[in-house]
Amino acid sequence: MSGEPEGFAQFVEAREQALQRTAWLLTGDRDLAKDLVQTALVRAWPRWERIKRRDDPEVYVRRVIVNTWATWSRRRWRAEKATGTLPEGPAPEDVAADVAVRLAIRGALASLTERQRAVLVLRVFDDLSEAHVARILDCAVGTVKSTMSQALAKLRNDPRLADFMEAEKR
Amino acid sequence: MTEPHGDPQATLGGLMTTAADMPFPQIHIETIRRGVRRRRRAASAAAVAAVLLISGVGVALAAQRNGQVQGPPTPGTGSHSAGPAHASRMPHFYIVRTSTSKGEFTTVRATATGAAKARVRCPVGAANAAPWPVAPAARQTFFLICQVGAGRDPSAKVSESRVYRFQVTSAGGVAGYVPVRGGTLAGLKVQAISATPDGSKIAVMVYPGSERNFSPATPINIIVINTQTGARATWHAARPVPGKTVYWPQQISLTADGRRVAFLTTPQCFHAKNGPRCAMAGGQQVRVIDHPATGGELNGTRVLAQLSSSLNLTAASVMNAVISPDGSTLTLSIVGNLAGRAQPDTVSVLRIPAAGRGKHRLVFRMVTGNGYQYTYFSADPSVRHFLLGSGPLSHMTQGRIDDGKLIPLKPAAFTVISAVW
Repeated sequence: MSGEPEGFAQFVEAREQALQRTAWLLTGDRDLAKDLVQTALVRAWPRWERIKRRDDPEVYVRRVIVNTWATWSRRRWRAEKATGTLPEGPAPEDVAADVAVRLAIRGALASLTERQRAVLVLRVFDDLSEAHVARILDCAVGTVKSTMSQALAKLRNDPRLADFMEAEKR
Repeated sequence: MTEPHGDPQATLGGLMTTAADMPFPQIHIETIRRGVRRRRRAASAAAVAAVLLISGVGVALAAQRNGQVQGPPTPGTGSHSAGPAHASRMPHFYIVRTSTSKGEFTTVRATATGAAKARVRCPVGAANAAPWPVAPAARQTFFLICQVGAGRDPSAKVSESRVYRFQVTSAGGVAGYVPVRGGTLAGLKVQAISATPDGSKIAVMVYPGSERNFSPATPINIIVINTQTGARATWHAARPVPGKTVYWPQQISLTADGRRVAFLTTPQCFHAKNGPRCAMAGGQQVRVIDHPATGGELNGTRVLAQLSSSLNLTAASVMNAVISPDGSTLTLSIVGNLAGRAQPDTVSVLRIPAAGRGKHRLVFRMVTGNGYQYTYFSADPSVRHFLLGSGPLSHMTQGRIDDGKLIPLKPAAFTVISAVW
């Protein structure tokens, strides 16, 4: 296709799995995660040269992922819920322990608000700085800090995570 | 992580990493390229639409002043609600029936990504109602058969089948189920369903609900339903009387105006036990019901295309035949070897003129070697876009046919019973 920005294909190849992991933590659904990352990449394409000049492209793509997901969440509340228990089974290399952690994390994250989940995923999983998260979510650093502490407080009392948190500490 | 080990944040980070550490389906750059192209096309179409809208408002105002304003077309009056341009667009969603260890499910999936969007369910109270088969009409409208079984087993006897209409929303959700007038079929199992694009007529292939499974020795009737009036007309299959050739339908399709029902059939002739074998003339053919609303006998219907005359079917079989909206062509899915040789086997989709003469157009061909697998073939309402589940014995693919290629769709082919769009 003419007009493909330089370095875009390499970025997709290198980062698509990592982006899908972040998207999965936000959505809790593998198919939706793929959908979300594809949509974000399609949206990033026309602005790629400008993004590269001004910003870290990955931060920009993550921002699009978070914003698109927020839009979808708002828009889809009336639609029939995407089925979470589709008969596709676990990923091929899954072991029981990983599945248990996955279910617990997915359930626990689903109990957070959208913003809390986004802050937690970007800050804890993607290991971005508070300033970076603030830029992605278009809010103040103080808001990131307070949202983060609310999310952690909520998860600390989540019974689904209690055993795993204890085991990790040991 | 910058925090020391033992910190809840670090612990949580570790758990999140474990949870998300699974292989995701690869996103290819080509998918993104296609998405960008679609987005650009949509943007330019929106710009054109805006210009047309602005000029249209001017024209409408002028026409209103001159008393020339015309109302929108009424659905079901022969002017189809979906115009040709709309009808030929690739459907955004497909409905797929899968079988897994957890049971059978009917799901709406996005064509572009394969993502599951919604589960199709039967609105009837019975827990053992199976939502399948499904037939597409235009504008993401579908007709659904809910077969109320006597047990949870999918092959259980059926007490009744009910027809519903539902709409798939732009986000892929299911926007409610509407019972179709005349759509309660007591004591009948439905083998297949077809609908006109405007949804004004549907045709169903039915056999007794007391039969546990479809048997090749069971006559199948065709019922044509006018969904606006609820009027029904039944086309009866001849009983398997010894010595009589019968034409039982294998697949059905309607023309856009609902005035013709085409059905694929293989003539069968039964003979009495210890009686002489009966002679049977002709091979596979497509027959057509010309005045569906009257009802009648399937044996008395007109032969539209004698397939065994126009194609070499000595080593091949026609699995499905779909009539085009205007009735001028038939699209066939064929397995075996059309060259007449035993091998290599192929799975082909071929478009032929309904009148018998004229060029054949090969839409798709897959060489499968020694043997093949085939589960389903489905056409969208415009009969331009196709879904196919097929492949060599070693592996099967289910997907959409695009420019002569079979593009895989989710879920994995071995779980798919059938799909439509």
